[in-house]
Amino acid sequence: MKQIHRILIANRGEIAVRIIRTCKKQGIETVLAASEADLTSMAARLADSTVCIGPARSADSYLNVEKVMAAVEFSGADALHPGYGFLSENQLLAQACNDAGVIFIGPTVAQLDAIGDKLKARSHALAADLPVVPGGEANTPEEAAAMADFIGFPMLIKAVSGGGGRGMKVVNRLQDLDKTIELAMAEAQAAFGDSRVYLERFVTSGRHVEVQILADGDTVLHLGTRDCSVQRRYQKLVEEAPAPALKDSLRESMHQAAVKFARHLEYRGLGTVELLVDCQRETFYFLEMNARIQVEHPVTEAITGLDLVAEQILVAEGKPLRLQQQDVAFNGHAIECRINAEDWFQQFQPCPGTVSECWFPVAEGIRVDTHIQPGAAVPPFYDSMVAKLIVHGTDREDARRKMAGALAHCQIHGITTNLPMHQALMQDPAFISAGTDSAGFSQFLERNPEEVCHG
Amino acid sequence: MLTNDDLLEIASALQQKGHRQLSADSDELSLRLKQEASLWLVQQQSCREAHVLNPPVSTVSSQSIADNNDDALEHLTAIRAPLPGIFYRASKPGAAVFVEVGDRVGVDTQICIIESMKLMNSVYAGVEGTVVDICLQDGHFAEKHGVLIRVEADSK
Repeated sequence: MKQIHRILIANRGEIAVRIIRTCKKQGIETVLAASEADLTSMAARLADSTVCIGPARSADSYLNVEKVMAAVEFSGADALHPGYGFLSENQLLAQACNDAGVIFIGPTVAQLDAIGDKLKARSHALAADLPVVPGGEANTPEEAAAMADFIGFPMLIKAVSGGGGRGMKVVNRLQDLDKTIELAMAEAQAAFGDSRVYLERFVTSGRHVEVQILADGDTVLHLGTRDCSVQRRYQKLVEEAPAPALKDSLRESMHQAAVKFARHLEYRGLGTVELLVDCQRETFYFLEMNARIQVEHPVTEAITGLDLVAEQILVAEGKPLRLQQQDVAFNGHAIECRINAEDWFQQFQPCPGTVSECWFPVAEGIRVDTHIQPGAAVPPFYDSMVAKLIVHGTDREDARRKMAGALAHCQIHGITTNLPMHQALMQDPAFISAGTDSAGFSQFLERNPEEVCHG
Repeated sequence: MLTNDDLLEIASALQQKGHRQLSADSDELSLRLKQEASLWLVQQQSCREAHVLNPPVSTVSSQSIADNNDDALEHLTAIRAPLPGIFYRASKPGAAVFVEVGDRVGVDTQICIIESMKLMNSVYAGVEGTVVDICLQDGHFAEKHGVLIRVEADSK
């Protein structure tokens, strides 16, 4: 067991600010590894110190293992927090930390390997006796055609090394299969350096529900479900906890499946088991596991009252969990909206720029995680998320109303954001009734924003 | 920066005293609170300078080309970046470039990709003519409305 004194945060934006907040509370010193574009960012201002790791482009800074490790050494940090995205699930970085005697705040290298490759993860899920979506690997059009017989259409082609929604294609008809497989393999090779793809049944009416896991390598706890079905091009926009419209028995078996999977891996740290709920069949399948803190973790924090980053740090220090499953109580309902610098009225065109003003609501049950402030640059080099608005209510309807009110009062000037989309969604009858499935949100987007603008 | 709990406490104190707004500044923080309808709103700004342990010697301010108002260029049509981002001349590394100097382009000819906020945005010529100059190197940063290429437009 080792006490962590100084953490290097190899990330940026709101998650860097959020990690700094917990570190300050715990009396842990923070060093931010920042690109040249982020040296005046809020995270850089709040960290105890900042190390510049290179030019603005992620490939030259945040995605460069050597530069990040040089910053670890230079700063004398005894631990590294990778945040989400960038190198958060990178085995080379985790290994480099091990070699340097620095704590990587995440799972073991072996666990990153077991779940980083989607085919490996799938075989672990089968070994742990979890249901998986019918499908499998196919590396020639012939193999794919043979598999299509038992998978059926529509079908999803996924890159083995893909992630975050990249490298996925839907095929609706047998005659499109050959062409799409070849395209998918070429794109996977270009994007991930790995042309392998696999096929899965495409669940048309599906809900994307995930289970938060916290484990110390011995004890595995679940911290309940989150619904992340509101997605555009596989990018999540709204998340809520607990996942709505699930029968208690189904929810409980999802909790148990996630725990079983983590136990099978002897998992250590924070992780999320992503499941796909087939609404028509009232069943669920294993999709993948994410071995990091996630963007949407605050909705779980809201309903459990836990600080997940604090728990993550304790586990990384080698301490046993201070909680047992019966200590985890769920209270009310939470919703998160991702405020992105993109223009809903211009096909979600990205809108980098400089923030002139930003006002956020202050009220019981409202939390804002952000890195923008007057004068803040929103650079074109990174993703477009500028803030997360999280509300906590007594039940789903209470949370939804609070969110609608909070959104109406947010004022962000200087950049265009998707606030109007979130406002419209919170008033959408389908969303109000029971939340949406993956198809439901596409339908919402087809109806809007034209109806909002002109109707 | 103040936490949500700090802010709630301040807002509730202001409420009790019947105040509608607050403006407070220190070396570290600039804080603004105002009440709208019945909701309190906050704007916080950290004024602390980052403590950079290894400040970069000098950042090249920008690799994009400043607008050149040279008379010689006046008759050319400048095709500009619709949004800021990284300029790519080909669909992926190693692929053939979209356009080369001397190429004929039409209105719908794709001339480049601008990567902005992790999205790839195609840019089209929007004009008929011949490419005379490619003003940025592949992988360099394009400012919003910065000139990407210049085209000698066909005379009507």
